[in-house]
Amino acid sequence: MPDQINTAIMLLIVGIITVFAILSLIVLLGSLLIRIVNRFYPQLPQLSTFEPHQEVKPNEIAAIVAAVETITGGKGKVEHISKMNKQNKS
Amino acid sequence: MEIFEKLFNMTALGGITPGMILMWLIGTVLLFLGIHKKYEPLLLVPIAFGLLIANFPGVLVSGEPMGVVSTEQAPGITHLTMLEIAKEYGIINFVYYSLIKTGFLPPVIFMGVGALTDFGPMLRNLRLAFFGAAAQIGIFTVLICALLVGFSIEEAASLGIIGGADGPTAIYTTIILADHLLGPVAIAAYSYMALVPVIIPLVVKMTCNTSELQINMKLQDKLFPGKIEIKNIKTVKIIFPIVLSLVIGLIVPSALPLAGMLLFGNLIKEIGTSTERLSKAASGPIMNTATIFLGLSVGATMTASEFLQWEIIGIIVGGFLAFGISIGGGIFAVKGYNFFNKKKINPLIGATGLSAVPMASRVANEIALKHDPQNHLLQYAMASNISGVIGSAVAAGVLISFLAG
Repeated sequence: MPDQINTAIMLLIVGIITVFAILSLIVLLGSLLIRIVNRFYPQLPQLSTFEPHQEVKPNEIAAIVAAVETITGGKGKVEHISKMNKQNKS
Repeated sequence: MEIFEKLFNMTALGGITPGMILMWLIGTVLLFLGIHKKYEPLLLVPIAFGLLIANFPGVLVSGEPMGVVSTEQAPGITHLTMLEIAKEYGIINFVYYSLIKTGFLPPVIFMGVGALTDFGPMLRNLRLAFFGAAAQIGIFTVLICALLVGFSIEEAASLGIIGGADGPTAIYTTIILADHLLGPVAIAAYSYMALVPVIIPLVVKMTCNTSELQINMKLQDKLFPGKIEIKNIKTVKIIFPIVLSLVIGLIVPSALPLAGMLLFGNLIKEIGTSTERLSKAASGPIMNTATIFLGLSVGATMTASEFLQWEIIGIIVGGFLAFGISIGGGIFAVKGYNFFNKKKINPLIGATGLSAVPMASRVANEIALKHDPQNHLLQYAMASNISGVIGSAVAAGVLISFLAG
């Protein structure tokens, strides 16, 4: 029995230290990962940043984004949407 | 007359024992709790029904009930082929020895849990992940207590893991360390998880005062800013489970069957449309099928001869203690942190450091709102709650690597 108690106490210490170590690594690596992604792969400007005067409806934006993604196999990104004016059309 | 005798022998009436009747009562109570009270019905109903059908005599050709037979009752069973097990011991034993005893189903369920989990709240509040570690204290404390009252160290570990508040983890650990306790450990784990709305407020009431419960997390963030802004959460969420599985695989490889499947499930969810079908399958049909087989066969391990023993009471009491100490451990870890830091954390964040996602977080949020209607801390509670899932899987890995074999 004393041997088993010793094992149990050892398990308590090792167990808690291991869980803390893993979660500390999660915190550290998570922060590191966020910094790296922020530095090298920040998200492209949100579509919501399109100016209201462009009068592009949200469902139209969604349709355009989906169409570009499908046609380019996910490689293409929509950075800017602007309406062509009537003069350009002619 | 002979016909009547044969008819009587065909029925189960001749073989009923008082133990079986008691097991029917227990099964009925569990069904009532699952169906009417809605205590974890997805698992409690299959477990209770498995218990019920395992306690009828004369089901098998041998005249025995169809419940799971342990390796002590049938020492040669592990050397039989699956066909022989199905033929001699029935389909429940076939399911048990092929899917449960091999440790297959709990990781499969964890894969589904991963596909339903969002690591976003944890990534946005990374420092709160530490409290998922403090809340594992109940596992190891109860392990020592159980040892002192006469359980073997493997049984004590299976009992302690109930404090992790994670059903698949408790089942997986018990299958490996003390499979004869599988039924009661599963019942205790899922019952206490269902009682989280009762247990957390009880422990919080005993350990926290009103001013602590009124600590507003959003206000603290405004007063003491310092969080890193995440500019591309989608990419972070995709890379995170890959990195995490590498870390866990290197440091606690024995936790990888559970944690690895959890992280895989999460990865296929976060990738998005290209793996959506896998994610939907993992969190839907696969998880549901696994839950049915797991519940039924775990319930069928509770035959009268195996279940009606004094040590079951020890498991019920010990499981409750493990739960309570885990919640208390998280709360006191937060109090310790608050003692040394200007930026305060609501102790309810510590209380959610055990798993039981997302019920523990919802309960914590409700308690916070009772004390301050503006104090919405669900997202913060989810951070420690999700880290608790990882924490309990790692704790299980430690127990398995030291005690298995």
